[in-house]
Parts: sequence; C-alpha cells; structure tokens
Amino acid sequence: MKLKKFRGSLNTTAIYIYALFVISPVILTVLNAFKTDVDSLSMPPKLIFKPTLVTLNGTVHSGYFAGLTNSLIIVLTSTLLAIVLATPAAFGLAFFKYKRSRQTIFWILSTAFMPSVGVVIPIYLVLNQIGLLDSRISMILLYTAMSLPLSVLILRSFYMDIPREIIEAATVDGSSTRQLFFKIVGPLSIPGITTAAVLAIIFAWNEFLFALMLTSSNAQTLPVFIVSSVTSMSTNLSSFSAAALLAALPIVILGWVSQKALVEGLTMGAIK
Amino acid sequence: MGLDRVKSQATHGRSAMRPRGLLFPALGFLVSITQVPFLVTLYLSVHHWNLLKPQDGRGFVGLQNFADLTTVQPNVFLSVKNTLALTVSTVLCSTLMGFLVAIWLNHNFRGRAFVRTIVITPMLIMPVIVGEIWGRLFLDPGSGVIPWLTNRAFGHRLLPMSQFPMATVIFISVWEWTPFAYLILTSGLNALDKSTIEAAKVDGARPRQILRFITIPHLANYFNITLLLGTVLILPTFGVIYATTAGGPGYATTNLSLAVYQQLFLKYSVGGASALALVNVVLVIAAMTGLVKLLGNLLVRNEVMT
Repeated sequence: MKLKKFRGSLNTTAIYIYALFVISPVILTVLNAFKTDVDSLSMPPKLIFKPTLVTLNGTVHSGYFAGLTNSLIIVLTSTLLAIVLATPAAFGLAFFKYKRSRQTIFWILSTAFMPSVGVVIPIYLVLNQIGLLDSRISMILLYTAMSLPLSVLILRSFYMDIPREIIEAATVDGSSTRQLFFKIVGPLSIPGITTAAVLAIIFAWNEFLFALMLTSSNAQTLPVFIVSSVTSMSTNLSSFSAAALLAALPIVILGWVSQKALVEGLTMGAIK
Repeated sequence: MGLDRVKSQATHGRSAMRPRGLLFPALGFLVSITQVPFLVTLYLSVHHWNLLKPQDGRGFVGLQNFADLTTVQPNVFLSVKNTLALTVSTVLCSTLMGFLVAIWLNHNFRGRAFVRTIVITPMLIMPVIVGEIWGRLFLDPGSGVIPWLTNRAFGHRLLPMSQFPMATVIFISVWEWTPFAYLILTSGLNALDKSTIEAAKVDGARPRQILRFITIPHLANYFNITLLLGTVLILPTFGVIYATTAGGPGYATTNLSLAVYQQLFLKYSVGGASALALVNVVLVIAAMTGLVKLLGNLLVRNEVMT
C-alpha cells in the first residue's frame, strides 16, 4: 500500500515535470518580457533578476496599440458578421428539409478546410486593383468567410440538440418561422453561439498568411506587427518577448477558460 | 412529421421567412469569397502573368506554368516532398504524443485541472509567435539556449536550424499540435463508460488488456478525427516556417504554402504562384475527402437520430 502511494506521487511529480517542460518556452518568454535588454541577453538565461516594466512599456508605445486596435476591430467584427450570417443558415439546415441538405452540409464542410493560398492570389490582385489592399474592411470580409463554415456547422449541431417537442409546440401555437427563430431558438442558441465565436476569434486572431500578404501599415494585425517589429530589432530578445506576450496573452486566456468549447468547436459538434 | 408541420407553417405562414432565404446569405457570401477566387486561381494558372514584366502581356499558356514548376527553384517536387514530410511526421508524432499524455493524465491527481490547462497552451499561441519563440530563444546561434547548452555540455555548438532544419520544424510543429490531439482524445476518454472498465476489472482484466481491448477500440473514431483534422490543418503550415527557417537553408524546409508566397512576393509570377497554389489545393482535397466523409457522416447521422 505504501509502495503504491509512493509510486503514485512519483507519477504525479513526473507529470509536473512534463508540464513544466512543455510550458518552458512560454515561461522564458514571460520572464524575458520583464527584463532589460542587457539582462535578456545573458547566457544562461537569468532566472533571478530585478523585474522591470521598461520593456513592456516600450513595446506598448511602439505600434502595439495600432496592431491591437486592428486585430480587435477585424477579429470581433468578422466574428459578429460570421455569427449573424451563420445563425439563420444553421437554423434552416437544422429544422427544415431541403432537397440537398446533405450535399450542402458536405459542401460547407469542405470550404471550411480550403487552404488560404488557393484563394489569396486573385484576392490580392483584385484588392490591389480597387485600392483596398491594406484595409480593415477587406480583412473583415475575408475573416468572415474564413469563420463562416465552421460557425454554420457548430450552430447547426447545437440546434439539432434542441428537443423537437419545443419546436412542435411552438408551431402548434401558431408561431411563424420568424417568431420561432427569434423567440424560441434564438435564446436557446447562446451556448452554440459562444462556442462558434470562441473558435472564430481564436482562428482569426492567429491568422497569418492573409494578414501578411494583404496588410502592411494601416490594417496590420498583431501577428504581422510581431514579425515586422522583430526584423527591426534583430537581437533584442526582451522587446520581442514583450511583444509576443502582449499579442498572445488575450487568446491564450480565452482558450484556457473555454476548453470545452475548443473540442466541440474544432469537431463542429460531432464530438461533445 | 413534426418537421413537415414546421415546414408547411413556414412556407404558408404570412410573415414566414422562406427557408431558402435562411440559407442564401451565408451560402452566397461563401461562394463569392471562396469559390469565385478559387476559379480565378484556376484561370490564372494557365495564363502567363508576371507583375514585373507587364510588357510580356497576359497570354494563355496552357500547362506551361505547371511544366515550369518542375524547373524553377525550389522545384515543385521538393516543395511537395517537404509538405508531405512535415505533415505526416507532425500528425503521427503529435497524435501519438497526445494519446500517451491523455492516457497518462487520465486519473485523479492533485492539480489535474491546472496541468491540463498548462499542457494545452501551445496550440493557443499564434503559430508565427511559436516560431519566433523557438527560433530566437532556443535555436538562434547567438541568443539561443540550445547552442549555448550543447557547447557547455559537449564542447560542440548544436545549431538545429541549419543542421537538421526539417526535423527542427517538425519538432516545433509537434510541440504546437500535441495539445490538439490530447484535447480530442481526452474527450474520447471522458466519453468512455466507466462501468465497462469496472466490469472488465471484476472479470480480472489487466490494465494492458483494458487498454488494448476496450479503450483503444472505443477511441477509434476520435483517432480518425485527430488524424484527418490534423492533416488538413497542418498541410497549409506557414507561420512556423516563415518565422524560423524561412524555408531554408536553401529550400530544405520550403513547403507549398511558402513556395506560393515566394513565387508571388519575390518573383511576382502570378501564373507560377497560381499553378503552385493549385498543387497545394489538390493535396488538401485529397486529404480532405476522408475527413469530409467521416465528419459529414457523423454530422448527418446526428440528424437522423433526432
């Protein structure tokens, strides 16, 4: 019995060590963000040092807010648009029979995984032609299209879980489709909308290829800000770490608090 | 039956939304932003168009762009090979790792929720930052921990990005994607009926037998989803490579996404980039067929059940 307990705590210790190993790059980044440039360059990395906010402060004043503003506006607006477009479509696919429901679901599923390089070239050329390269509005539309398929499928599988009796009762009472949608299904779709929104926000926030190819200064999002500021401060580890920390933190926290939504969302509700 | 009633109500009710009207905005938007550009990519791939040489015009060249892909640097075979090497190794390694960790953490211990939160963190960080963190803090010849540490320990500076570039990119991708496999497989373990395992234990089954005959068969669908979804998500990898090796040294880690980027932004060849993009799409579609079938059937089956 004693031996078993000992092995158990040994195992738990091993788990802690593994977790520490996995997270060590992140820990090092966080530590660097609170160091001065000189401290961050010493080898081996200093684990004990006098923490300072100078570097973080410098990053905040070096264009981070412009990137943050762009990211927030583009990501949140596109997520909202995707949800607004996806909700009626998901409602339709869940509650009505169409001639090609099945084919439509399969088609939406396949657009969800279209690689961005398959569409980015004409988009680049057209935006260049009409002067909308490096604009928030084109990024918003693109990210909406990117989030839409996943949102439709996630919401649809949430709607499939709403007991049919509720819908039937409402129809018998004479509710129109519009009333059904806004009064009954709408309030029930909050968890589905949350899951879809979490996924859309994470994917859009972390998106890099479109952002790199289609934005430069006006609509630059955070990933592009990181890359461009990295090249301008070639050896400066602490500034990079501060920028990386500030850019990644919001989404990491969002992911931490919505772990369940991650699984349901990634598999579009096929797994709950 | 209930559905029919809903439907007739919907089509005949006065203020009713037409069901087709429900689908139209989303589908129309998707078609115009994803399908139309894709068709234009098809069109561009059989035309000559170099942004730096407008005097050459934009003539139809048939399959010339595709033929050229075999001779330009990096040639298409190398980028396809790199894409496949990166995708297959990353998917297999991260699925195996994710499975082992999921099994390992599948019991009660102090701080379990915290540990779970910690180990899924890599997948939440934007890939280009993942690349920069590993590249600058660990692998860089000047500021990296690994060259310093190996020099200190063995008197020899290990420079992974130039010595084993592909293995390095794969390692970083596995670090990033293991949480993804872990999450899906853990939700599979959570869905496993505990009483089945209890019954097997009562019947004298050993832990290894339980794993072999109950747990793994139960996880079959979860494994399929992890492998297929992982493949289509990892095939277009861009940020990690861009931030670490930038496709080098030479073209050792240039995958298709990166090659398309180089064709367009270094050589300004619209035709060449489009042809290359199509090769990438074909690969993704090949991988996607299995996924769409599996997930689509799971999604549609849910419908039949309700």
